[in-house]
Amino acid sequence: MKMEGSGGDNVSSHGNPYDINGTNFIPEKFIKKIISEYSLNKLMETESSLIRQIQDLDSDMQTLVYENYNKFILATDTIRKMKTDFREMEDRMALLSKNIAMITDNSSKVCSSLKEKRDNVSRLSGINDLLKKLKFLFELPNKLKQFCEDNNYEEAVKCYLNGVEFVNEFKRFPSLEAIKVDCQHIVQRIRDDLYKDFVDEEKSSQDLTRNVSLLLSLGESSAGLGKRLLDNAQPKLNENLESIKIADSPNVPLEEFMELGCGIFLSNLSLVIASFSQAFIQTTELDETLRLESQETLKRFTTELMDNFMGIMEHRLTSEDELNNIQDAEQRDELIKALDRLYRRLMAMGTLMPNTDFAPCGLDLTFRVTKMDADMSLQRIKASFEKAAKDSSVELSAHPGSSQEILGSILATLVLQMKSSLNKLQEFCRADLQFAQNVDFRQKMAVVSVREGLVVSVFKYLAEFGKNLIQDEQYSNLTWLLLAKLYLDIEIGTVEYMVNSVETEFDIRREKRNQMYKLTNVSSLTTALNETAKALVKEFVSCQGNYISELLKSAVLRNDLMSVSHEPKGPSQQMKQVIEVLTTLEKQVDSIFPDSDSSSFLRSERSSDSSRRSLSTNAGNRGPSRPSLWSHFDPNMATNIQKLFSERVEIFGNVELHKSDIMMAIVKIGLRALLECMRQKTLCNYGLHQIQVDVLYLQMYLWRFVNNESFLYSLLDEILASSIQRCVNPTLLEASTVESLAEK
Amino acid sequence: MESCAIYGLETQGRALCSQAGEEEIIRFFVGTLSPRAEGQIHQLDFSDETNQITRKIFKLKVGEVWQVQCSPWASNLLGLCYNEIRETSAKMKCGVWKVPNSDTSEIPHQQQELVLQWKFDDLHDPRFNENCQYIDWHPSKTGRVATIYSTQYFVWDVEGGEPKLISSSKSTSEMYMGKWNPHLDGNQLATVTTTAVSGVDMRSMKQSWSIPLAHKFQVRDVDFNPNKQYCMATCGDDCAIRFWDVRNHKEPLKDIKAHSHWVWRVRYNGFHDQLLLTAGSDSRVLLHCLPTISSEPKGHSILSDGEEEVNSPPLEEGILAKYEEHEDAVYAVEWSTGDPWIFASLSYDGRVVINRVPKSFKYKILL
Repeated sequence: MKMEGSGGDNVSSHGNPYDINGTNFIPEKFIKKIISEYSLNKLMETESSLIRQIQDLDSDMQTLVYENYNKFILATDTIRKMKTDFREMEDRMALLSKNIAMITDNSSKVCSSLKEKRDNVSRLSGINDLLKKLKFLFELPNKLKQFCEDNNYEEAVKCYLNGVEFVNEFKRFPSLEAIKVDCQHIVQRIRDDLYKDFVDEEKSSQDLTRNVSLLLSLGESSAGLGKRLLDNAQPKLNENLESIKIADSPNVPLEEFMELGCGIFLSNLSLVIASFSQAFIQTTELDETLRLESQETLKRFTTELMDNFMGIMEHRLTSEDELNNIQDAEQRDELIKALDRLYRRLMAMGTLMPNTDFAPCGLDLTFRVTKMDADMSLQRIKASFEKAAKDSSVELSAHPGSSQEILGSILATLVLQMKSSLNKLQEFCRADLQFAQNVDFRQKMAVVSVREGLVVSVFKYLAEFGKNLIQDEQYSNLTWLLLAKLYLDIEIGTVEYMVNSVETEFDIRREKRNQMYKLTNVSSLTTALNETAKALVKEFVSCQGNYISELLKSAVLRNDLMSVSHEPKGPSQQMKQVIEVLTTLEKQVDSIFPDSDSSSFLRSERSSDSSRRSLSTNAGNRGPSRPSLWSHFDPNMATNIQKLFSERVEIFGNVELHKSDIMMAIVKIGLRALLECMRQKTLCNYGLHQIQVDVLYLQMYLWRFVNNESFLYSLLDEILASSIQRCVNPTLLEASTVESLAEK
Repeated sequence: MESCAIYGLETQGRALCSQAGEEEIIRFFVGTLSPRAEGQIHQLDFSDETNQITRKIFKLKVGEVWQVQCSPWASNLLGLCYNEIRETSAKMKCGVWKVPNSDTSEIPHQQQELVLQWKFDDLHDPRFNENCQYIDWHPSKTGRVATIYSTQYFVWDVEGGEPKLISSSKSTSEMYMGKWNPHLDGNQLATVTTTAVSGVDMRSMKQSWSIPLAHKFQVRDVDFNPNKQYCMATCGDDCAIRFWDVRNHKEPLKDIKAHSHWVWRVRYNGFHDQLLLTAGSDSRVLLHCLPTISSEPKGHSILSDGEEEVNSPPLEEGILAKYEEHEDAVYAVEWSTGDPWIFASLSYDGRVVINRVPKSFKYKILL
């Protein structure tokens, strides 16, 4: 019922006493509510609408009651009519049952009168059957003979098998025994005939299958038959193998060899396997255990032959000649095709034989070929790198400035060679190759042969080569430095680039959790290269440093500084030589390890100044401090104080890989050696003066090479201090005198 | 690390030795080095309990001391190499002095003086004008001492009171030092030239072995393994310490690069030869443990071995401890002869540091 009066604030269909359509409607409340809430007009409106609605409802109800009453009267009439109809039906049914009883009676009378005749007929037909069987039996020997003569063994066996059943049926009649014996004789002959075929090598396995199935149905043992069947095939297969073995020589073209292998041997073997499994395995006539047994026999037989076969295949396909030929694109293609052909045949054999799969052998062989190919590439890269290093050694000593070009060409050759080797290896992954479809093989090849076997090995080799270089006297020291630089270059970009490109091209996933093959970390490679580079530079530094040391030592140790009897005339010869050596060395180092920062620019700016100016500025800056050190005759104290404020410096320590640090390290080694030598001498006043001049001379020229001037000065101070200590009667020259002498 | 004891000379120093044949006292002798003053010998007694050093200074009427070595058969005899400085020349000489018996002496300590026994140089031909490089007492033969000069060396017998020249020989190349081999009945003297070490049989005066390139540059020191025949350690200017079987001169048994500058001294521990000290001009003293090439390959002493099989973990090969108390180059380090776990080192600035083998290692070796 539609009622707008239901409009309370919270309208809900249940439990609202004001909802006139709801079940919980309470008229009193409703009346109260509308009286209190509605205006008079609205009340009037509501009342009239309610009255209208109630009238509508009344009339609806009346029509409903009338309709129902009508239907009820109709139903009563129908029921009354049905009652009279049923009574008629009952009478007819009684009549029907009486008639049927009569029919049954008659039919049983007919039946009994026919029974006798029927019995007679069935007896006669039984006799007829028996006679037929007897006739078949009597005819059996002749029939068998006939079949035998016609070589129609199938029919013969079929007949015999039928006959055997009857014979067993009539066992108790001795007269029939003779027939049985006769039959058995004939069947024995058939057997012998069938077996004869097995010895005949000309008979193919398929021919023999028929014999086998006949013999099996004659109840022969399946094991013996299987053995005979395989024995029949063996000589021929061995012969095939022999011919392959003969063809296993570089003179026979690969294709011919593969034809012998795949075309003949494997085909024949497949035929044998097919016939055998048809006869003994895929047949339903043998029970489960016998079939499994046969399967084992076949497996043993095939495995032995295949072992031989794969041995020969491997010998040829992985022989050195093949691998040498492989470099030629055409030959390479042929080899890959051969491998693919072999693999396809092996796969096909796998489908023939349950439980045995030769495909992995094929994959394994292919994998080995790829590994060897990668190894060959590696060897080639090694050889050419070694040659490049040797050449660079010669080239560097002839043209010291050419280092950047040499570096570039070595790096380019290396990358090119690796790329071309990779391209070659990628041919093994061509989509048309069956073995390339195998995911495991691809992964194994990609990781073991390509990534680890070639790329990673190349970088490992480089690191190793660098390490051994130090012991090898064939290479000049500059080559050490050159290789160090090369390794740094490779470390920064090439390693990651090469490994990544291999991984994308060969689809290796580094993060794959169940990666079966071990992946060498890229960072371990870069670390090895970096360490080698550092070791090379360190060795270069110590070598050059020691060379400088020897020069300085000879300046000090060989001379008797006690017997010097005159004032110095200028810096000693060896000091000048040291500076000369360092100057050329700096150029060489600079060409390989230039300073990258802006300080190198400043340095070169300054070095273009005259040394005179740098000296005067130095003197200006450091003037007050240095004489004060020299004037005190307790230099020990001064150097000790200096040490308090400076860190311990390792002389043969690690070296940063840029020019100024390399030069600093070399100078450091040289000066420290000079200090040690000074401490072993005893000198007179003039000797001390000479040292004073030498030290200033070194100071004037060495600052250009180094990146840590204060350390340089402290070393020079220490040399001077030690010289003063070792002097018998120390007096120092005037600073100005020393300066003018040092400049000579 | 256990604390060390430090003593300072007023001058530089290169000469240090332990008093031999003395088992009660831990005593070291240190020589002063200054071309402008007379040499002194400082006798330093170290007390293990109090960690204190008591000193006694002996004057010397000659120049600075470059080497001091206590004779193993008379603990009061010191062999010295000293620098005799004249107006225009300085000459290295050697001699033997006697430490006075302190009990009978009534003079205050500072005034005491070493008693000169002999100066070997005075016994030579007056025209003999070579610098003495090294003096080495024979480790077992009483009174036997070798003096090594630039191109010649002499063997003396001083047992009778007056030095008797036993033998002498010349070397074609300039010698740096020489040392007796304690094995082979003490008949072998090892001499060091620039990079070579060679052994000379004193009976036939023939070279019995030679390692022509023991180090890339100057060889600074040689020490024989006291317990293992043919085994020898060398060190030098290539920062390396090498171990040799003298029968194989091509390749060292072991090559250690642990110092960052020249290595000046190498010393086997007299009792436990897996312990080795090295000192270098990188101001460091290193204590190495080398069970693989020692006479006690399993890491325990021959003496305590036998009935009880020790199953303690073997000692690790490598550097046991780094001593960085010095601020200048360390030219000398010596084990105490009295206590095998104590040693002294001397740096050029005159600082003497007495240190111990870390206790944990001491027990590992002993137990």
